[in-house]
Amino acid sequence: MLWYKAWLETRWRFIFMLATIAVMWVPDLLGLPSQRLAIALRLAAVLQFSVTALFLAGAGINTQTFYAATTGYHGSMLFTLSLPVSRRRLFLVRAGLGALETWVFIAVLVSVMVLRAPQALSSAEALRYAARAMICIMAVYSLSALLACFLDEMWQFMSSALVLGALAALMSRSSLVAQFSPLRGLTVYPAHATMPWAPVMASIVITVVLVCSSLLVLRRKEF
Amino acid sequence: MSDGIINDTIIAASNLSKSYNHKPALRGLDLAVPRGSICGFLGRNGAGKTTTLKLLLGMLRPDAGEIRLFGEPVDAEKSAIAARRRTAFVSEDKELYPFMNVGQTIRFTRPFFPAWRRDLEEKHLRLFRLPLEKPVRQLSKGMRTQLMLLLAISRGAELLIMDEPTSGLDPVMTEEILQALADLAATSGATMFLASHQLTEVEQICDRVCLIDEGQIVIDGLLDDLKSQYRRILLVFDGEPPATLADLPGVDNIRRRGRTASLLAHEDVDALLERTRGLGPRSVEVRPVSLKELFLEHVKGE
Amino acid sequence: MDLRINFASGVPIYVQLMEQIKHAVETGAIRKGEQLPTIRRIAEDLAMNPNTVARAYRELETEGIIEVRHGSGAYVAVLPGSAAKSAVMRRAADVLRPAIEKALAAGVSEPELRRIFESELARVNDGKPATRGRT
Repeated sequence: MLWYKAWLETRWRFIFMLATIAVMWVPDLLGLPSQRLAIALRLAAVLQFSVTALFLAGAGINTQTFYAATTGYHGSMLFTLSLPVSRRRLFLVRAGLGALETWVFIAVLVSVMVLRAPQALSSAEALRYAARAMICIMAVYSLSALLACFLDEMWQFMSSALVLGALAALMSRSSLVAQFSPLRGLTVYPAHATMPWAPVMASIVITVVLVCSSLLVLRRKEF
Repeated sequence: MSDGIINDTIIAASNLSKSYNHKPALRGLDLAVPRGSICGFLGRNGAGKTTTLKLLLGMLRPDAGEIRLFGEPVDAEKSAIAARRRTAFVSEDKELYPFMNVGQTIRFTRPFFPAWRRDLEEKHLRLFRLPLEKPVRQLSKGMRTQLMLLLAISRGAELLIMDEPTSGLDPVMTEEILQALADLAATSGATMFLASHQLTEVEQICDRVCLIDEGQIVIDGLLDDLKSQYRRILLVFDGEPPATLADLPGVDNIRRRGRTASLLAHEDVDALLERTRGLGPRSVEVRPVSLKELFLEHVKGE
Repeated sequence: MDLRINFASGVPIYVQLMEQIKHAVETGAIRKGEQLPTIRRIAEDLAMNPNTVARAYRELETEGIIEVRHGSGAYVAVLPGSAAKSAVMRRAADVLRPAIEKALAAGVSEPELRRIFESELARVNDGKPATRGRT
């Protein structure tokens, strides 16, 4: 029933983010030429992936459940914690569903991109792209999930965005960072026929580290 | 439990200590709540009641001391989860999930408890008149309390921990809640630990009381026994009450006013009366002591 | 039986219950051989602790006022008059017990104690106040 609860907590956000895929039609309204379209779609995708990840990571891990470390008000978290279930399971189910929803989002978005701009993205490339994006987004998502464990939702969202912004800025300064950054895994487009392994590997490692950290934070947290 | 012996102390805490920001909340607290008792956990606001409850449920970790529920330590994850399967907690503000309705809340909670009783669930849905479709956020505090009691009873909880069960409830709802608790105790023999400062309700439903003040237990015993043991002795003297009153054994508190001295005595009151008569008072009066008096006499003022 | 408990009183609740049940027996509200309400019933009706009710029933059984039959419940065991009497006798026993213990501890032998008791009893019955002994 934890999955059901997590679904109830995240469903509106999930549906809302799916609705934002309508942004894909904005370049048509602006009358953009097709190459520009591809670039525009690409940028939109990255933004949407990231926002979705942050948004979904917040709901439920935060909201009424893991609430304000600052206010100290824990609301229904007390009810949840009194149940015979480990904190580890609580986190993994909640974070797991948000991650799944983010993957669904990516799948839908990439499908729409293929439909809208088939000349820019073939089906095979789309598949590889989607797979790559799904792995790399997990680094972003798990960062946000970790922050959600001890920050209230507004701070979690903003500080996640801040970290991503800093990462993007670092990418332009340091080629090392640029090579391994998960953001590259999200943006590098089908111009490469092969999978850029560096960001994918880095993302997996980062995700594992961040998830373990989250579990540790939660184990020690006092309500 | 592996050895199959029924443990008679359901809640056992020894030497519990907990501080927040270097300010001590609990200082060497000991608790022993026997099976089947309804124990009122009394104390002023900020004396450490909620802290103690959260420690029992694993929401906080103690700085020192040991806690056992059903004889098993709560700092080991596996036994803590097993203990929670036999326990129900009702928080002070009766928080549930506002985005669920009554039916969803029940359906959510049910799978966690293999011993769930559908018949009790249905019985109490009817008894409390809880509408299944109503969102939790629209329920009054009293109805949320009833819903949480339904969840506790249906799961077959052997231990019920409640923080301020009747605070903020109107008299009718209060009586319904107390009746539900009395019924639960009579049918299942569940143990209850109720943190409260509603002395009237505690006197009505509890057979034991523990009083916490400044992080320590200052009274612990059967309420009826406390009422038998404690007496207020009022002495009127011709002049100033003698200073030797302070030396008398078994006196918890002395208050002097003019020619009158008021003693709060426990244990061996008869011997004490003999000694006070020896001091030559003009009149001696013995009165029983209410829980309210016991409470006020044993907590320190601000 | 109309039971009214004052929960805020300094008198223990089980004592109040006992007194009221005895009173009900005295007034004939409940007669010898009739069944008392179950512990559960009283606890629910009054929204009070069943352990306390059980204690009252146990004490009443010890005093012989009621008898508990396994499986069927508690029944009144005495006629009106004897309920009050057994309470009085119990109180008398409580008063005498410490005096007897003190005397024996002071070295008075049992036959001597019996003689003292008889003579004091005779004095009281003669209308003469018993002389107060030194404590």
